[in-house]
Amino acid sequence: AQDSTTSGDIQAGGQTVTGDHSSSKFQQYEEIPSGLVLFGTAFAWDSKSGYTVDFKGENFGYDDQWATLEWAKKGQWKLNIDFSQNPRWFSNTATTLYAETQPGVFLLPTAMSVGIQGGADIRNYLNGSQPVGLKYERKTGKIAFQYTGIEHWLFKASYQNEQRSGTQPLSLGSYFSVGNNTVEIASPVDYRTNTFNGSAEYGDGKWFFSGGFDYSKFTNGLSSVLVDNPARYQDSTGAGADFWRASLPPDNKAYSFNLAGGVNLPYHHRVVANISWGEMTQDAAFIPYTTNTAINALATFDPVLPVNSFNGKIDTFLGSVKLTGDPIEWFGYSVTYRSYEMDNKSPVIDFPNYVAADSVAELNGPYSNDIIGYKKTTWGGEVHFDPVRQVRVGLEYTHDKMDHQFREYEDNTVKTWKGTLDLTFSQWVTFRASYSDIKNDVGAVNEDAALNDYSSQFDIWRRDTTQYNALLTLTPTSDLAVTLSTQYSKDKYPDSTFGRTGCKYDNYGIDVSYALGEKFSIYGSYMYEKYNYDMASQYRVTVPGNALDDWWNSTEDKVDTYTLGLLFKPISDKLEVSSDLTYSKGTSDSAFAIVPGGAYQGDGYFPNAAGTQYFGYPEVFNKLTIWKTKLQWKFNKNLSAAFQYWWQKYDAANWATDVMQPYMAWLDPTANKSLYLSATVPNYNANIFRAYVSYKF
Amino acid sequence: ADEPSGMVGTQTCGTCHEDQVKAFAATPHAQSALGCEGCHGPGQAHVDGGGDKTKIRVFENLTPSESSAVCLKCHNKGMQSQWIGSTHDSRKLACVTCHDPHPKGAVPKALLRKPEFELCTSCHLQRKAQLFRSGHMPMREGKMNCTSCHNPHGSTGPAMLLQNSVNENCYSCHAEKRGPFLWEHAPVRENCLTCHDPHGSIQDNLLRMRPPILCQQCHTSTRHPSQIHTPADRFAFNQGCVNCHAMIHGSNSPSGQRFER
Repeated sequence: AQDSTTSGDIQAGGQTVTGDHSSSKFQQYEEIPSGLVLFGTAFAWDSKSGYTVDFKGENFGYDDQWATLEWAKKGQWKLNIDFSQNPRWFSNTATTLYAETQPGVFLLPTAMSVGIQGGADIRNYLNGSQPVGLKYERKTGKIAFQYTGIEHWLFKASYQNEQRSGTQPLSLGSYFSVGNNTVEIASPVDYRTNTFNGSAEYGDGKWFFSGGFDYSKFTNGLSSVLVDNPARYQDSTGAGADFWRASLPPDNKAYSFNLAGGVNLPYHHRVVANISWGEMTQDAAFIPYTTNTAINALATFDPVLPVNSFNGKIDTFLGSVKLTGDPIEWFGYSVTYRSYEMDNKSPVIDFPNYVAADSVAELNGPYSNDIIGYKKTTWGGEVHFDPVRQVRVGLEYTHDKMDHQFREYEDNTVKTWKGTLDLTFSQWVTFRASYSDIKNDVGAVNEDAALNDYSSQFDIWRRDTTQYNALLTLTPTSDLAVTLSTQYSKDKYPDSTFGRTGCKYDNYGIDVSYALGEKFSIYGSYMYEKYNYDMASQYRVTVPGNALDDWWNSTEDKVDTYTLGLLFKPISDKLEVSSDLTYSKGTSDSAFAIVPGGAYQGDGYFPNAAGTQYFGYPEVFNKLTIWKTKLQWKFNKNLSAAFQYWWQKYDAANWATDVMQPYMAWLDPTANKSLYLSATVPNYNANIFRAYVSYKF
Repeated sequence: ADEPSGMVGTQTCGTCHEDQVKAFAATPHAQSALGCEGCHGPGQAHVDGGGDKTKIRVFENLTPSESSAVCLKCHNKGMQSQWIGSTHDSRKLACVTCHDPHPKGAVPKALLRKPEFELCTSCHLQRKAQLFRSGHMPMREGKMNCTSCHNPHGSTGPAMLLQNSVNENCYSCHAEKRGPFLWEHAPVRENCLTCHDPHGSIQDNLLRMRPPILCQQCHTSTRHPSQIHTPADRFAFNQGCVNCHAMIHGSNSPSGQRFER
């Protein structure tokens, strides 16, 4: 015991937040409190006879608290117990007329539904709106054990319990009901995910084997929500339902077994193989087609479900093998084969009818679910040459074939050629670059899928892509480092008449750091990024449409990101000043073009196009500024004090959400029976002052 | 070159390399009975040669694969088991590119040369910029890091992901999206990245584009998906198409084939 050592530290102090900081965005994923705060603490014990204990934690008592404890015997075993809590705050401006009378049951005042059904204006009832939180917490507890007491072996087991509780916005459309009404609610989040992992591994430097098992179970405390229709208090087959019901994410399970093995072969070769197979299942009970008693009473409608639950099952499989070799000093290669499958073995269920919205029964069944899954087979190889020690030239080819269970095409194949260049000169110049030529070709058309939704499905369509990127790092002295980087990617869709027709991305960045002796260092960076997406479409009441109703959209997003920082130590081991500034500005512009002289038939809100007309969405932008400056004074090797000023400003404009109010018919007259949460994300401009002492022992 | 022979012990190394030995003593590697020579090889010839650098393994003089081979003698299991032939290995990175076996000052987690995010973004500069987007995962708040999703030592998944596919990776935190669902949305089931950019976006919910335009890039079919929607339009404001098609990740309702419930 005399040889044991203990060490640790504690950081505590006070913090005050001033300025405009009420926005949910300010504390979207964290809590920044005012008052006395135990910012963090750590404790470590080393017995010197092989046992150790380590504890760390931060933000105790707050929404983003975490702690971790490790108890170990060196070289033998390790036990970790972790807890963390993370908030997710969506909005602090939401209001609602709904009262959640039971979990998942959202009611409105009866007089309101009666009144609106009788023709009253929904605005007459909005005074009763109450603020409602849109925020959930993710709490995770984990225990993990690792044993390395047998030479060459590693055993691991862990169990994790994650809970998410709170609310999130959920929008429900009953668009065939009276007034095309949509309602938003603060939907309960009551999720539990239990995860177990176990594995055993052997590695002796030549041979490697591993086997493992993963299991995950997701449980939703609520299977559905039942929501009052503001426009109806009586069920009707033509005008809508009193209530409607929506299914929430169903309980599900997943497991997988994993095996891997590898061996070093002569002449610097190695082969590694992996195999993994598993299953994802879901068999939660179905909710009824509808709560609309008028529809259920129709002689033509069969309310009895053909089955009570889905019994869905997806088998997953991975098989891969990779041979790598560096047989001679200037040449190496690798060959890979990989097959990954998400084989959807869920049943096809024929529903004789259904109710898309709660006023109209769809009676022309059967309506059957599509079985979505795929198999991706990859093979390829890579060769690299080192003509001199400082240079590597590489060439790769990869062949990816995706077989789809139910997509517009039976399959698509991506062929990628990639050239790489890596240079390292005198340890002060590093240059890395690559160029890729990627071609995606499609196989036979799946007529059933194509007819099903007429969609363009740009993710699998024929596509030609060119990509390059380059990274140059210069470190002419140990005090100076300069990094330059660029990336470029362009997608062409040669067969695409409608849907996405093009996509382009490029960026340019520079990062510089410079140290002036041991007392002063400075760094800065800048990154410029631009994204372009082009698409075409045509307004069609029926298929085919009128070419004069063609329209195009071009969206361009740009982002500028700057950082600047310094570290100054005017008095060695006593005074330290650091300052970091980040500024990010992103903008998004989206513009439309219409056929000159076309007979455009839009949704009625754009003026009909008598000639060439261009319309654009208002610019969306978000700007974030974070500036943190800290002054730290060390009294001695154990005790220090620090003062930190932190300025954080968020300035954004988003035409889609900034306008949100409970009643939106002032903007869209057809939304006159809708009820929204008025969930906005306001700007903020906050100042945080923090003073704390750190004591190390 | 001939392998030097003869062990001298860490104490002897400290005679000349005091700082390195002191730093090494605080690291997990100090548990090794071989000490410095566990990585640098037997030191007798080096000592006998008066510090002759050609008589001992100096990592600066090794190729990246030679350097990493030394580490892999012990670190050949767990997260490192797929290193050989991985993207970083084939691009001439070595273990010591990111890890420092004898760091100055406090011993960092995993002996990283810089804090994890700073280290990764010293090459992946664009990822650092994405961190400051309005739509972001809680990385700049310190709740996640790059290795929450990626294994930089190589993996059996794409893009060095921890799981075997993009979606399986996402399901590890978003298990409610796993299904299988009665009504599946094909691009959702096949790849979350079709619509989302997990590294950060200027759009809400990490979307690559704003709805309705995002949805209309595929849905060019009849009626409202094929219309231009203005900002003053319930198909565009708030959550756009998701105002009605709220169960866009999949629905388990018998009446949910249009993802409305």
